[in-house]
Amino acid sequence: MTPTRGHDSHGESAGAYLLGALPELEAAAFERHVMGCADCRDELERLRPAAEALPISVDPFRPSARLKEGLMAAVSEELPRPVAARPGIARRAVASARWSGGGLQGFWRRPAFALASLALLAGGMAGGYGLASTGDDPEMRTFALKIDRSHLADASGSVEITGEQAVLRMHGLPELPSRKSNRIYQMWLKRASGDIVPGPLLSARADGGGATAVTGDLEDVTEVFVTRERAGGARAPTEKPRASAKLS
Amino acid sequence: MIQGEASQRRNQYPELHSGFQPEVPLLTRLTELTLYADEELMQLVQRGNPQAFELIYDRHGGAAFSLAYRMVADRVAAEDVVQEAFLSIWRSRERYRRERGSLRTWVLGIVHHRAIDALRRNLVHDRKRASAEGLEERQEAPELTATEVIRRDEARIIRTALGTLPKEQRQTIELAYFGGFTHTEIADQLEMPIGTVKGRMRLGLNKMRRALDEEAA
Repeated sequence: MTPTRGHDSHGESAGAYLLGALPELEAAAFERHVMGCADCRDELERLRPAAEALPISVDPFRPSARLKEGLMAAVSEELPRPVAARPGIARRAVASARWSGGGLQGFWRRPAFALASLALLAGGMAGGYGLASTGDDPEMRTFALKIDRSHLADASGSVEITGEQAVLRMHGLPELPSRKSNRIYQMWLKRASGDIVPGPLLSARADGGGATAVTGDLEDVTEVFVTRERAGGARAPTEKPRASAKLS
Repeated sequence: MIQGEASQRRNQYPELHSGFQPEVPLLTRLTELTLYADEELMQLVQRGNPQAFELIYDRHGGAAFSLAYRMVADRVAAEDVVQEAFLSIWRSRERYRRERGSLRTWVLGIVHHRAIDALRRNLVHDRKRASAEGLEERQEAPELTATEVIRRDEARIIRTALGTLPKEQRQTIELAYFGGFTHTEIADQLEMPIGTVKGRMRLGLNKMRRALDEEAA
C-alpha cells in the first residue's frame, strides 16, 4: 500500500501520540493525517494495546475516603434541581401526600419484586401536602414528601419525575450510616397493583443532605416512600414510612 | 477481570434478572447494581444515575489514583487529578462508547490526560516528574482488597513486559507516559534527535506488544 501524502513527516509519530508525548498542535495534525492514512492507522492499532497496558503497570495505592465524599457531593450538586411549585400550572397531577395507612396495610409483609429504575436526590420542599408541579418543563413533575415528624423532625424533601427518571432529594436527615449506626435509608416504590418494589439506598451526609436517582418505567408507580433499613438494604420494608409522596 | 466476576455473580442469581434487557439494566438496588458489568453500569450513568457512577468510582478509583500518584508523586495533587477526571467523566458521560474499548481504558485515559495537564501546568514540582525521587513518599495500602490483588498481579505481568525492553526504550516510554514530557523535552534531556526519541517510543511499544502477546499465549 502506498503511504499517504505527508506520511514521511508522521511516520514515527504513532508511538509518541499514544504516549501523549506529542504537543497539542502536532497531535491534532497527526489525528488528521491518520484519518487518511491506512498505514498509520494500522500502526496505531498495533501499538495501542501496549500503550493501554502502561497505566495498569503501576502498584496499587488507595485514595483517601475524602476523595470519594467530595466527588459524590459535587455530583449530587450537579443533579437536576426540582423546579419550585407554581400554583396554577400543576396540570399533570395534584397529589396529596397525606399518608394513606389503609392503602399500605400489610405492605411490609409482601414480597418485593425486581423493578423499573428511579432516582432520589436531596431537595428543599417542605413536607405535609405534596403539590405536583410541571415547573418550566411540561414533562417534569415535582412532589413534596410528607415527613413522619416523630422520626425525622427536621427533614424535608421532594421527588422529581421527568420521563423515565425520578430524582429524590432530602435535607435535614440524621446522618446515616454514621459512627453510631450502620443503618441506611432506602427508597421504595409502590405499584398500582399494590406491590412494593425495593428502590435504591440513600446515604445521609453529615450536613443532613442525601440524594439518589433511578431511571426506568415509572408508569404504574403510584407512591414513593423512604424507610430506614439495615446496611445493604432490605427486600421488603421493615418499618412504616418515614417520608412518602403519592405520585398520582 | 472485574467484569468477568460480575457476569459470573449475575449468573448465580438468574431470578434477579428475569426479563432483563441487556441494553437497559432495570434493577437498581445497590447490592444488585454491583452485579452489573462496567458497560451496563455506564448505561445507567449516562441516564444520570449517581449510584451507578459511585460504583464506577469504587471499581476504578483505586487504579485511577494509583496512576495519578505514579505520575505526580504527591497524594494531594493525585487526588485533585482524580477528582477532576471523574467529574469530567460524569459531565461528559454521553461521550462514552462501549464499542471503542473498555470503560477502564477510557477512565484511565482521561486520568492520564488530566495528570499530564497538571504536570504541564507545573502544578506539581518538576523534580518529581516520572523520576524515582518521589517514590519513597508512597505508602502502599497495607491490606489489599481482592481487586487490588488482581491489579497488582496484572501490574507485575506488564512490568515484566516492560522489563524486556532495552533500557533506553523503557526510559523514553516512561518519561513520556508517566512523566508527561513531550518528545521535544525528552530529546533535550537525553541530548538526542527528536526522530531518535520517537523511534525508541515506537520500537519500545512494538516490542512490549509482542511480549504481552507471548504472555497471553
